[in-house]
Amino acid sequence: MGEFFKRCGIGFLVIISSPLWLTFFALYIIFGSVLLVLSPIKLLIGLFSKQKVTIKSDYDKKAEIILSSTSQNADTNNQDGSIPAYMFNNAPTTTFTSGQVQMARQGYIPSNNQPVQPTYQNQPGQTNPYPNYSQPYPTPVQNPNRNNNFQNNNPYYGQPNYSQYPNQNNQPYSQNPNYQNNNNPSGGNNGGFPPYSN
Amino acid sequence: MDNLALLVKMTESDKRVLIAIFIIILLIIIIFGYIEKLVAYIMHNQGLQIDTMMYDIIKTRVITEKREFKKEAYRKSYVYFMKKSWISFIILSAFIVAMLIYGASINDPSCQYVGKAVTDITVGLNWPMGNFFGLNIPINWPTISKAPDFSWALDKYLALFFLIGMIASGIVYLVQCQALMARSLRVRKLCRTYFAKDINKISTDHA
Repeated sequence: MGEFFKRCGIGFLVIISSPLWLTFFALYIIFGSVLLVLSPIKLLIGLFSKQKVTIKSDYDKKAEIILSSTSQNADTNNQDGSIPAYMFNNAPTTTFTSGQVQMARQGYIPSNNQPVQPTYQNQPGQTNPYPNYSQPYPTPVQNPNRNNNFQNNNPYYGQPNYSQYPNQNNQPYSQNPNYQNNNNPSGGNNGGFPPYSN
Repeated sequence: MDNLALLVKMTESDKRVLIAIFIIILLIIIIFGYIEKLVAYIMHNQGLQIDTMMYDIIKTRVITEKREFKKEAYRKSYVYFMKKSWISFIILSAFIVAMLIYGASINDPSCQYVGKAVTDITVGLNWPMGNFFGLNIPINWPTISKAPDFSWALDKYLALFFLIGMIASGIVYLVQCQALMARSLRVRKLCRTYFAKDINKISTDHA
C-alpha cells in the first residue's frame, strides 16, 4: 500500500513538473542536434591537426600501460595460478622480482650461484617422504633443558631461517622474556608463582 | 457545507460520472508513476556507460581531480553520442528533407498531404459530449463515423512511408538523447559522490 501511494505521489509530481522536464529534454535534443551538426567540423579539424576524435584518450593509454604492468607482475608471481588475481589487484605491494620468485621455487641461491637448498625428490624405492638433510642445513636441536613445548617441538629453534627471503630479517627466533614458562612453578616471573612485580 | 449540499443535490448518474472521472485521473497518475520508475531504471542503466568508459582511468588513478574527470567524462559521453546517433540523425534528416522536397514538388510546401494521409487511414470516432459542471466532456462510448481508407494514392503512401521512417529514426535518436542526458546526470552524480571530501570515508578506510 505504501508503494502504491508512493507511485501515486511520484506520478502526480511527474505530471505537475512535466513542463520542466519536457523543456529539459527538449534542450538536450537541441544540444544533441548541435553536437551532431558540429561533429563533421570537429572531424575535419581533427583530420588536419592529426588528432583523432575517439572515445579513447591519452588517459586511457596511460591506464592501459599501468594495468598491463600490473598484470605482468601478477603473471610473474602467479604462474601456477595458485594465488587469486584479486590479491594482486588489491595488494599494495606486488614488487616481487623474478629472482625472488626463483628463490621461492629453488631455494636461496647465494651470489656464487651454488645452491644451498636443493630440491628434494624421493628416490626410487625410498619410502621416507622426508628429505635427508645434509650440511649446510642445520641439524635438529633437542634441548631437554627447555621445558617449552613450542621450542622443543621446533627442531630448528635458534637456527638461521633459510626459508625466508634474504631481504627479510633473517634472524633466529628470539626468546621473549615476557612470556616465561608458567608450566614450571619454580620459573616464571622472577622465580615465583603466581608472578608478581616488585 | 455548500459542497456537501451540492453532492446531495447530484443525481445518481452525476455521481457515477464523478467516480469514473476520479478513477480515470487516479489511473493516469499511477501510470505516470510507473512510467517514471521505468524511465529512471532505463536512464540508470544508460548512465552506467560512463562507469564503463571511465573505470580504468579512475582505478589506476590517472585522473585524481574532479575538474579533469568532468571534462574527460563529458568528452567521452559526447563522442559516444555522436558514434551512436549519427545514423539515426542522418536518416531522420533525410526523411524530413524528402518530405519537404516532395511537398514542394506538388505545390504543398506546408506538407498538408501528410495530415490528409493520416486522416485517411485512421478511424473516425464520434464522441457523444455532455455538460458536466460546466465542462464539455465525453459522456458515452464513441461511434465510428469514418472507416479507414486504404485506396491507392501516391501522396498518401509516400507520406506514410516518410512518417514511419521519421518516427522510427526519431525514436532511436530520442533514446540516444535520453542516454546523453542520463550520462550527464551520472557524471554530475559521480562528481558529487566519488570526489566528495567525506571524512567518513577516511574513518572507514582506517577502521
